[in-house]
Amino acid sequence: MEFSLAVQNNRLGASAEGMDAAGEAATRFGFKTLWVADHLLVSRKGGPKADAWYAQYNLLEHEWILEALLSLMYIGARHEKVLLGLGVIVPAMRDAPALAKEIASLDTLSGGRVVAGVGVGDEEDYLEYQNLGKEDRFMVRGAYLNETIALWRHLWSGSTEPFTGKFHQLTDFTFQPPPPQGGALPIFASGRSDRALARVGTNLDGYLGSRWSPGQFQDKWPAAIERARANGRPKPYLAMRVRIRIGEEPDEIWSLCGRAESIVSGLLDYEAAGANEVVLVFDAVRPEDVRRDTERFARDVLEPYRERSALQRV
Amino acid sequence: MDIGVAIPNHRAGASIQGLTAAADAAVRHGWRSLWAVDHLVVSRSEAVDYGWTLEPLVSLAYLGALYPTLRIATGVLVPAMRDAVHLAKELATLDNILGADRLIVGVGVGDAEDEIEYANLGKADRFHTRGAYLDEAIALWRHLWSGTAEPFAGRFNTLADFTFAPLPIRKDKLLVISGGRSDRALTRVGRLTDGFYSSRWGPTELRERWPGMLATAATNGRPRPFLAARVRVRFDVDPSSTTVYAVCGTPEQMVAELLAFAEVGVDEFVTVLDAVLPADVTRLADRFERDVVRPFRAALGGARPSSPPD
Repeated sequence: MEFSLAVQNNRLGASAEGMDAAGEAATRFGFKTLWVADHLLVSRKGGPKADAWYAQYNLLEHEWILEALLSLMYIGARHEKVLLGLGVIVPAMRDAPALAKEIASLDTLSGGRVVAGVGVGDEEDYLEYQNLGKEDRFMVRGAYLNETIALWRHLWSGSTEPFTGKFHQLTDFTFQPPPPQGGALPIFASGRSDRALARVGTNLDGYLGSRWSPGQFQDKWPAAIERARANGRPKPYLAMRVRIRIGEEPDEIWSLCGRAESIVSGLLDYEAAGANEVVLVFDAVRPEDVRRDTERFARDVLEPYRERSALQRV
Repeated sequence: MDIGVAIPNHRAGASIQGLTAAADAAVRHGWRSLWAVDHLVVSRSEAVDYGWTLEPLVSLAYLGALYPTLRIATGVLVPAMRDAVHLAKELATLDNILGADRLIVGVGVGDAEDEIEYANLGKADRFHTRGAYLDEAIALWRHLWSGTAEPFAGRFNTLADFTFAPLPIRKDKLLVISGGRSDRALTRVGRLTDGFYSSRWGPTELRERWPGMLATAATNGRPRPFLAARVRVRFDVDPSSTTVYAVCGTPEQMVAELLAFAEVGVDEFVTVLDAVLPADVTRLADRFERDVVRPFRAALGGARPSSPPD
């Protein structure tokens, strides 16, 4: 199982320097991918169902945010080894054709390092859709996402054939250069609904999970693999975002916390559940805090994990 | 007058190497800024110039990350083909990750030939209101960039409950300049925008039009606008043979043209080289610096900038 890092392009104080520190840590510790989050203009109050959770989690996490693609390009330009993950972008809040071009350019300028995680957002994102002038999209966001994936692969493959969808029709167009990864640029689903997981086995390359405990996920992943097999697709890739809080008490958001040994055990559980990659989520935003958290993780958790993981394989 | 360069982010073969060749030349020669053109999914009739394009904001984020001393600029971005709120966030991000005083936001609406591109982007309806959309986009940006939580009620955008952070470093003073050749486009300058980005105009056209824009700014109590001129530079081409204005002819003629731009009051001369491949970019940039820019600077140093050259 490999390790990756969630770049804090969000949370109060997120900055180029903090993101750069994440890039340095990834290179230093051999993390595979840097993942960024996507929000554009969240609501301050949240919808009618907004509760303490909204204020504590959504607002705290996303009130301050640097745009995902440009953040990723910035990091990618400065750190050449690591893969660049959109984790995840919400096409229905933007426009699929423009996004096709932006992602293709990101892939070109990073030498083919992009992994495009996609999602639709949650119920509480309705007001953000509205702020973006996309409230009509909110009710059809799943269908829009499905069409987006088809349109992207069409454009990225280099096809000049017309594209006729429900939301977008392109007959007279040119789209060059195709991304270095072409129509095979990996697209990962996200989201906790069954529909989201069904997308993985149907036409996507992987899944970026979030807030799942290994136990919660154990039963769901084999079904996704089976669906992919039935559709004649390669085995999908599983990346899991896991919040890491060494030495801390549990709180409302699912995380691996407490003593280093129990975090190592938790990671082994993810590996057993089929995860190919754990995306480490630290709360750190300032560069010095990013360095502190990643160094501590590498020392107290990563080395013991690798030893135990190797022993288990033997 | 500073020299800038239009990065080769469009035309067949546009590549990372071509972009860095332009940025390297800018650093080598002390040029001030890198300017990127905006097209996304054009029709086949525009394929030669814009069918092959690297998205400008992504390209500028890439170059901005690697070249910390250069200013970067959109020349020009077309908000009506995108969404104003989304762009507010992208531009604020670019400004934040680049650092203070490095971003210039040039905006426009595109030409009549761009109608199919609007449709390809799912914005067919916007094409006919693109001027009004641009005006509102600028107002919306300044609203969001000021840090206010007050609602924004426009024709195209309505925001009641939102939070926008981080703000651009200069907040709503982030430089927004506009391009275009129509009368409507020109009236934005000094009223709504902080400067003008001319395209395909020589000193003659600027001499006619620029004083009006200065007057508009003065009338509106705004500071003197910024003037950037996007100009084709063509070597070994007879001036009488070109249909679109270009700085061309002998080196002496080319220097004289640059002096004329400076005399009109151009703050930055944005060089458009006829090159996409890195070796061509380097060769033409170096030749322009050696044969034209250096003699121009020498001549300017010896003459009063306000008096026309002999």
